Amino acid sequence: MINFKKVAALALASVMSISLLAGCGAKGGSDDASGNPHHKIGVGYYTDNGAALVAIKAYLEGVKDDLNCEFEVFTISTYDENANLTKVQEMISAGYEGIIMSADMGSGSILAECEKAGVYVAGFLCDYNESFYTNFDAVFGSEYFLGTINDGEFDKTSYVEEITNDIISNGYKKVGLITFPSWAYPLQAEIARMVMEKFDAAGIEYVDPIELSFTTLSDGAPTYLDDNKDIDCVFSICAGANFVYPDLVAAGRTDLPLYTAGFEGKADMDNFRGRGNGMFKSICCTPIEGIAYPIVLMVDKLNGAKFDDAPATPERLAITQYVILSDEEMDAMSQTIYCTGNYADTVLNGEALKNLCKSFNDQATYANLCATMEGLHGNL
Amino acid sequence: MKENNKLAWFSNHGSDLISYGGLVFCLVIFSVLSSVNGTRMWSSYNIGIIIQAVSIYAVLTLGAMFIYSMGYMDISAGSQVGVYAIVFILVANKTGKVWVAFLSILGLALLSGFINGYVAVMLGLPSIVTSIFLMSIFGGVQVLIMEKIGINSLPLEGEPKNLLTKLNNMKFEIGDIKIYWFMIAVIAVVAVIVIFLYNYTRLGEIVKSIGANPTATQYSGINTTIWKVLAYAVFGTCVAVASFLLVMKTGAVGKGTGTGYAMDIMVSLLLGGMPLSGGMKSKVSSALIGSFTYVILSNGLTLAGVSTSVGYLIRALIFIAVILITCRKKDGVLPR
Repeated sequence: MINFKKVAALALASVMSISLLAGCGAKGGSDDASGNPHHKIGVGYYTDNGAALVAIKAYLEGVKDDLNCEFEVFTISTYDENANLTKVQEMISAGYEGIIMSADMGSGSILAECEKAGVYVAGFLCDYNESFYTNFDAVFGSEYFLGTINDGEFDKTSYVEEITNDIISNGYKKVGLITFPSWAYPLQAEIARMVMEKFDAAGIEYVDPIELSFTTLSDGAPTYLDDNKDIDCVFSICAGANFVYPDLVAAGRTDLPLYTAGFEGKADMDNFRGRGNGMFKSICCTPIEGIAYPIVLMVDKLNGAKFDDAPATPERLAITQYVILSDEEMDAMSQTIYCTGNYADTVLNGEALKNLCKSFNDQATYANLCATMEGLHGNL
Repeated sequence: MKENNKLAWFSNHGSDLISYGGLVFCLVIFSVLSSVNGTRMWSSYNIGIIIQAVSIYAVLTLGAMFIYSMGYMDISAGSQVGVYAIVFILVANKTGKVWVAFLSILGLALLSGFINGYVAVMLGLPSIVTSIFLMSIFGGVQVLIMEKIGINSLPLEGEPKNLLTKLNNMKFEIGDIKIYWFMIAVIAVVAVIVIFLYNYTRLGEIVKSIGANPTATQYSGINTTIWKVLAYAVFGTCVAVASFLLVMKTGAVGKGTGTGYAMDIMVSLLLGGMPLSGGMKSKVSSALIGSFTYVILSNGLTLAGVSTSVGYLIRALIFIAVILITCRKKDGVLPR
């Protein structure tokens, strides 16, 4: 006897799968007016949600026609080499000629795979620290690695100065410090050390930094707020909007001002200083247009063009982040593509990006590319 | 009469038809869609990566057959793979000998197989409970080791790295097509051993019997404890081999290595027509067909230009459909 349930399930799955697939299909393109061919570039981003991802997708969609490229954003892992390698292999099979990655995970095997396939790799919002210090030859020594743009500056002196000055000027007496593990984010440990030095000099008390192993405050340090009832401020050097703020609210500590790195564009924007509960006193993040750096390098490489002043080995370019410390700055920040997700709000549109490429503009230089990247934060 | 014979044939071979049909369907539809999208599913490169991915899934699912045939399930495989891969690299880097590293993880795998099987029986726990326990232990150990080492990604070094790279790249060429034969050889060897154990020894007979009716199997005078432990030992061996293949592929491990494999094994077996409730209709072919289908599905969706999010949706739909189609028991779909 025919089982209606099973037949219906099969039919349903087939129809829906084929309908979904019907939306896919022939993509492609031809040479543009400059004679540069059409290119396919994959962009691996370390998370599948958030304001930055929305903005990056909008930006890529906005610039693709100017560069005669198509971009496919896919999710990569920050802790699983095999997942990243498999995804990159599939992208290579799907005809992608360049891969831009926002995580340094499996880079050695990915570069080896890309060398075999003749595919180029570049980084963005990532320092490629691990490869730089433990696998330099395989990654930075590869002619298929083009370089990376860091998620901010390597020298955090100015950032530490801005935040500690604000904390001191607001008269906070005892500060809690929170970081991610130093083995994963050594720079955060360095920032914590610099902050403590500043506080020591200013006579501000602080609780020794705690490390959250990518867990929330309540999971990683469940008794922290009870043990430190006398703190009157928290500086989360790791992403506080997701990992600290919800627990402060849940614990009824909306009186605790929170200085944090990172930016989610949600609670941190709605509760910034004069807004909402006003808990957030600072945020910092990197302009998403930083992705222009690897795009320019990739497009030029694929088009066979090279800057006259190109560096001999791939670089780790550091750029200034947005550091938001006032309502006025947050008002300005909320008009950026990072917050609006609207391509019209970018500070570096497709035409400007095209002009940065040697393959479209013979006058283009690497120095100009770096200077443009450095200027992305504007006045923020 | 003829009509009845036809119905009986469909009743006996329906799931085979669906699983083989599923694989053929995937091959045909993704060949067409990928070529429409301007990519080639049958390129030498793509065949190579499919084989590379299948080899890990196939070895894992071939081992998992013994567990799922009993109507049991195991969700610790992923974290086991992660720990074995780390231990393999640590031992190989320290000793410079790949065989010492492999024997180390094989020993660990057999030990955890023993714990998995024996503890479940002795304490009268459902297999899922001991596998949750093992998953937590291995997951914790994996993170602890990586944090202790203090780096995010642990690379294989020196002579072991050269050897594994060499094995990974061993190939012969037919025209433009390069066949990476080492992975194929591993799949073939493991498959032959599993087919022998499953179809021609008491082990296979008894695990299927336990899946069909554990009480009757026990009352027929069989010491099911020993056979359950043996089944877990075979599974453990396969997990160790799969960990070796994974290290060969990536050359490095992180604290997330192995993530997702436990669920992927289950989905692969389902796609291959394996009844999750186990029993006499369990077949080795389910592991192989399922692994190929799962990998080709994932690979084909990317080649067809399907976005990641839509890809998840399609996989979920297929998963639900396959469960409904292959469910035989009215009183339960999931393993014990």
